Amino acid sequence: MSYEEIVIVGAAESELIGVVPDVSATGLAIGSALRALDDAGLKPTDVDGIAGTLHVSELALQLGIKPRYADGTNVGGCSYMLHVRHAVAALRSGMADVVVIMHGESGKSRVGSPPMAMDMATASGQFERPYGIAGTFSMFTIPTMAYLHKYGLDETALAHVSVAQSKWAAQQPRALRQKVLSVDDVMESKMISWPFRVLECCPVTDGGGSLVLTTAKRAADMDLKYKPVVVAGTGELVEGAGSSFMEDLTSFRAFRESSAEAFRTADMSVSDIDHLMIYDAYAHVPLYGLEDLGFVGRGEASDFIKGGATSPGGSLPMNTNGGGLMYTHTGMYGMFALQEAVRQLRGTSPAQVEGVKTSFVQGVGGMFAAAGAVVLRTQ
Amino acid sequence: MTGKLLPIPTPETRTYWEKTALGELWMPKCETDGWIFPPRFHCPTCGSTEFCWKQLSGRGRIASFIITHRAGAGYQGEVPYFIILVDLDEGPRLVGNLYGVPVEPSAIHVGMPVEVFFELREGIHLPQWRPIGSKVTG
Ligand SMILES: [Zn+2]
Repeated sequence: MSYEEIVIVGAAESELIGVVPDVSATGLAIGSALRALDDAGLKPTDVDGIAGTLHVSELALQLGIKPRYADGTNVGGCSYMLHVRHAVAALRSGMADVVVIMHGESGKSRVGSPPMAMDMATASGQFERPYGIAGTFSMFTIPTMAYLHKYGLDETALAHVSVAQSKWAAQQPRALRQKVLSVDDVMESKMISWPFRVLECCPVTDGGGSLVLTTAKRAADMDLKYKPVVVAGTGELVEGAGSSFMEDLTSFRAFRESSAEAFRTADMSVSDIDHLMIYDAYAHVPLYGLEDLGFVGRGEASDFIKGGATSPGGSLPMNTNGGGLMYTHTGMYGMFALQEAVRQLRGTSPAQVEGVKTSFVQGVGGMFAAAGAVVLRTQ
Repeated sequence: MTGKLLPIPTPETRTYWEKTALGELWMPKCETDGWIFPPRFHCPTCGSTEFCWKQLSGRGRIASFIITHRAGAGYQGEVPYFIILVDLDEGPRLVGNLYGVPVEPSAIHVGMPVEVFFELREGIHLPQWRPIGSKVTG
């Protein structure tokens, strides 16, 4: 059977990203939602479906609407990829006509953000957290040495990820880290969690971003500034507790399976993809992602990046906003990866790649706990 | 009070923590599917709740590691320190800290054999790790 085409008609980030001490997390979400709606020529009253990782009832109140569809799925930073996937199903089945997916997080300034609670009765609370896990930088990163060891790589494999992405970030006026980096710059930066230096770890920032989705049929009757971006395929997988519980420390099942489903539902393969976003909270994640998604063979991601394939002018432009490492990382970065993919498909990215017709966006949630994938294309 | 985080045992994990208090490492094992870790209500492979607890040797090899330069709760006086993943000889994997070697990358490697000891932390005995034959206890 053929499904109705679902499209993104509005996309925007909050006016300010980075350090935004006078806007709450909810304010960042709502501010970006109003901008995304304006981008689509719509008003809040046109919206009958919402999704977000903040309380959806609070988002509805703040937006001033009473949605008949609400999705509060929260599996970490890739939640927005899952929201896109669920919105596609909702729009196709008539559960909603216009869905707004909202992200707002005061990761740096902690304005209007609840304290981060830790449940010491969970699997992670009992068997990981007691061992001096200071933050994600000392747990999300922990499988990396197994990966480097398996393929005979050294620490510079991580540095090259940051170097490649810094070349994109230098073209992005809104990126937090805009300097073009050398391997030495990265290797000499402050040690956080060996083998990870600070320039191989995401910064912590404030920001928001929203997407507006509807059916292609409805979009055809709208007066749009930009051509709709088609959600061609999606996938998700919730794997479980986190990095120490991975079946294989050198490959992430949720990347493999969510991406395979996204490719299958889009009826595409790696050779059809012009542009790639892989959620990079830390520099090892794109190495895992390139291999688990099938863009390169096992153990080949480092040479691929080092050889310039993902850098400006390369065969597979990746993380063209500079990634979570350089652009911004509010905590749940996935929305910003989706925003850059939409910009590339609209032709409006400050680091625009010529002729992008397809983009693959891969998110990770928690510390190798869940994943969501979205394939986007021009209409 | 050390300020270090304490696990909160649940009915599923109570035996694990009761055995560590005796200086032993035990985990549930399904007759058909092998070790079940983290301990759960049922065997996630076959669904059986009819499994029994078995003792492990407490020996394994380092599967991966980091050296954190930022302290977790209660670890402020110990930075930098190792956080390691240990693949036990019997198969399951545990997280822990490594003691008994200098805290530097050259002193540790993937595949390095280690053995368990138990750190008493406010009434809970946590599995911790040292090189085989080392006598350190923290
Ligand atoms: Zn079983």
